[in-house]
Amino acid sequence: MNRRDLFKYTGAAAALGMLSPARKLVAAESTAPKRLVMVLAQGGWDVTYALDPKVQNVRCDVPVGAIRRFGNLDIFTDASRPNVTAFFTKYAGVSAVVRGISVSSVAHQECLKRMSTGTRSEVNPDMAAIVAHDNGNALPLPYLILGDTAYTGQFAGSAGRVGSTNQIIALLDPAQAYQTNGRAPLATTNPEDAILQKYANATADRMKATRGALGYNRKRVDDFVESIRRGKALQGVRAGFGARGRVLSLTNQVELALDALEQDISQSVMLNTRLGWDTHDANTDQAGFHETTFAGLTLLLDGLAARPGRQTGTTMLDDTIVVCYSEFSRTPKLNAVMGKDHWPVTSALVMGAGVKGGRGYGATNEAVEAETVDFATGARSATGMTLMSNHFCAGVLKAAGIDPIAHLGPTEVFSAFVA
Amino acid sequence: MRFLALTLCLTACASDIRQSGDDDDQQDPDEVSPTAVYLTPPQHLTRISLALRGMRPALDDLHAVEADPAVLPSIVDRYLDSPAFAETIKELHNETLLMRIEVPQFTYPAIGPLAGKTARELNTGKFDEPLRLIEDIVMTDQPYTKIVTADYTMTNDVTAAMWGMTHTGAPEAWTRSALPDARPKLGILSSNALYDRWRSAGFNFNRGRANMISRVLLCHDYLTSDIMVDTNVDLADPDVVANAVIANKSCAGCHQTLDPLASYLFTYRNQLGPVAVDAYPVTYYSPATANRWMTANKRPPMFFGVSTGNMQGLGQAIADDPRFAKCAATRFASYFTEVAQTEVSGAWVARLQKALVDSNWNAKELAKAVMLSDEFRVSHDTDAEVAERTVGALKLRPEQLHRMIRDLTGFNWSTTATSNLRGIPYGTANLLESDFIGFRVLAGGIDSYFVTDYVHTMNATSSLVAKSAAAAAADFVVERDLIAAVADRTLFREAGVNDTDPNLIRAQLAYLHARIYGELVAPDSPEVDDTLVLYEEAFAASNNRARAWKVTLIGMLSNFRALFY
Repeated sequence: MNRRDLFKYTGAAAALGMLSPARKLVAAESTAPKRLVMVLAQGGWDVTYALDPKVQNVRCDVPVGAIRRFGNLDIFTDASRPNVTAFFTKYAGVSAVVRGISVSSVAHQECLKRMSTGTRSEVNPDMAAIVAHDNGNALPLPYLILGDTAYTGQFAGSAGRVGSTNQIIALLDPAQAYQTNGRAPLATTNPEDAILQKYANATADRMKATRGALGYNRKRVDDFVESIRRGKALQGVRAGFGARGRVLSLTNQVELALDALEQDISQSVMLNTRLGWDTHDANTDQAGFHETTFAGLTLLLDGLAARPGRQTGTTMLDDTIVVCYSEFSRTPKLNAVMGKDHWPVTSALVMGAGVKGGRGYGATNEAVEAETVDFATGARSATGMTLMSNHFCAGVLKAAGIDPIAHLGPTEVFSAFVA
Repeated sequence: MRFLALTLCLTACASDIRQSGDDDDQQDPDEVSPTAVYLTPPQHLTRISLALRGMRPALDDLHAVEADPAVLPSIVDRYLDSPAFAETIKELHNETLLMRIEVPQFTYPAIGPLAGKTARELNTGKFDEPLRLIEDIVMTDQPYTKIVTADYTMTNDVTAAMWGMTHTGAPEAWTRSALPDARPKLGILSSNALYDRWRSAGFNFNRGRANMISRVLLCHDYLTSDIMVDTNVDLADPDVVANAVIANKSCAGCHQTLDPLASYLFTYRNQLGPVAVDAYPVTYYSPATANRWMTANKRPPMFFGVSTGNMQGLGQAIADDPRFAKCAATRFASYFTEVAQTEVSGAWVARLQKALVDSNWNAKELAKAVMLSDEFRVSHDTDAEVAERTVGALKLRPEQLHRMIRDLTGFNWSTTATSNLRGIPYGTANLLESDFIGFRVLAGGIDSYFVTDYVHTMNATSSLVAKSAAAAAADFVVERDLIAAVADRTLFREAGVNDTDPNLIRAQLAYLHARIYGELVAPDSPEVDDTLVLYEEAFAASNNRARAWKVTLIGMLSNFRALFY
């Protein structure tokens, strides 16, 4: 527990009081609890390749292609990027593009924090960690981290990683465990596990009667007990994790994510495109990266739409929000080596449940500079506000059925895209 | 991401950066709470032993401290001279330097003199160099300032072959070596590996590296500043940017000090990826480009407004900056207490800083001052509000868990992987110290690249790791002690594995409580009662004494009292 955490628990109420009466309604307006899948295009994507279409002008270099409308949603496409076109042809109706998000930095790590957590501290949880904790903390592994970058903050006890070569399966499946000293690993039986759990609980009770009675220590004891239960539950669903040594491409991550969500192993999943988005030279590489990413998104949404939801007659797409984002965008103009550098205004794609899809929200000008917007409608407005990363994250949390103020403090909520 | 350079390029910042050496405007976290409850002397010794060594205290030391707490400082001194503390020093500094990576695009080829080396050996030989130098300086009681002024480095056979240095001693041994050329003698700042880990993206003109140096050595991180980027500046045009960082007031606030620091670093090349390495030795040293700042950022090298003449003066300038001592004190305090740097008591840091400087910059004395502080020996707090921020249960880092298990049981949880990292056989690694095949990150550790903050609590995967490690160690030590002569047994000192005498079993359990938990309890104590139930139920489940002891040890080695301290 640090001061930021303390704020979360003691300051949220005060923060609510600082807001205008209309904004006090935010908590009450939060929608039904959702799952959340985050797809991180780490390194900085060029939004002119799809999400924030521009016409070539003196202040902005755009790739090959043209602006195409998918209903009310304008996207930059080209025949050479068929996966982008295919995705929006199929899923524009459930997709909201949020443009003109300012991150106020052009440093990778800083912007990753800001876009992921809505804050400026790496000790705060990202959106997926919050959703996992608040909406699904009873699951075996509420927050499944399949990508590389993620922020778990005070909800670290609810999160877990699979490892760069999916080595988590070595912990779950004795048949895939490592041999050491030429011996097969010692596996305990279910009765032995029950005995071990009982012993752990006895220790926890002793700790709670003494050093672990209160506060930070108490949380560590509680996490300890809960982690054993979760570990055991994970072993019960190990079939969903595949083989050790598996390289986690985006496609593989999508498959694991769908299984983990469908089997109620996890409430949130963090994926990573694992592509070299940081195109300081050869910015045309962005074309291929977009193709790979939108192929993955199509696979993800196809899977969500094909699997049963939590209510009869629904699909997982009715329960799940998907956010595809990057920490920042790239400069409007090409540099001397035909690359693009870091740009502090970006876009994000929000899909699925709780999202008013089929249109764009927020705005940028011809040089990808953020314009002020009306937070109620998402439309460009001279009297509006600049859309910041914290506003965007607050909107996603609200769409997931979570009170954003409780986690982010006195933050305006950009909820125009929330159904 | 292509280089993951901490590209600070073109950021601007307000003028409210907190200078780590300036206390005037810094909110000072509370001193130790009046309602704090402190560890007992044996508990304090246990925390010290695990913090400094990653190992449980010996029974003799536990009894000595219980009998006379005044002996504690002398035991601390012994710990500080131990090889295990050397491991801790490397881990402490890796937390900030982030050197220990296992990433394909940083893994150099196994060619020429390095043919046949595993990926693990190549990466360790490359990236441990600056950590080994710090270890050598600390463990030989040299002034800590030498980490930025030393005129030598450390090599094993891989390091020497890779960078073209002379290596003496056994191939895998790390020994002192002269720097390979005429580069400035700046301790870790002379390390090729440091510049390879922190590659520059070229047009960023070493700003990411400069911020790394400022962050690591001065605790001044430009990137945490609240900034407003002026999007009217064409960030794709280097000339426009070069002017903006001087003339645009929203840029100059940071860049007026950052860019001159970055100008020193043109003495090193931007990057040397593995695809560019077709023979050894290679080097990052590039004296021919040392003056490239004249056409790049157009800022002469300076250290926060002070001219040091040339790069050789940079190290001493850093060492002379009050922020250097304060930063070291903050890092040690934060690392050893698992409290975020921003939350560490300012008053305590000031005392630690003085202890460091007054001891002629002896880092062991700094560590000792931490260990013997009230702030370090807090157990818990009886005030509910204060208890929320009182870190009284410290979780073992994966590396500590490895050393604790090895010390207790003699078991090394390692394996040899058949898989390749960038086409090179990965090699042998301890599973608690590997990211590519092992469980370092899953256990709450860092991979120094994507995951850069430890997790100080338990979750599903760290619980599974702890249990798996405990199971492997329990299996090993029970089988070993089952056939070992009494005098050679590792853990079964009071009873044999197959003994059935209840008194002997209780005595053995009390011994395990002392070794594994640091608890000096009687064989008929309630604590032993709990563990006896575990043993007896495990025996009832299998009707096998060895199996029952294995299950008992799994329960103890993965228990809260073993994993937290």
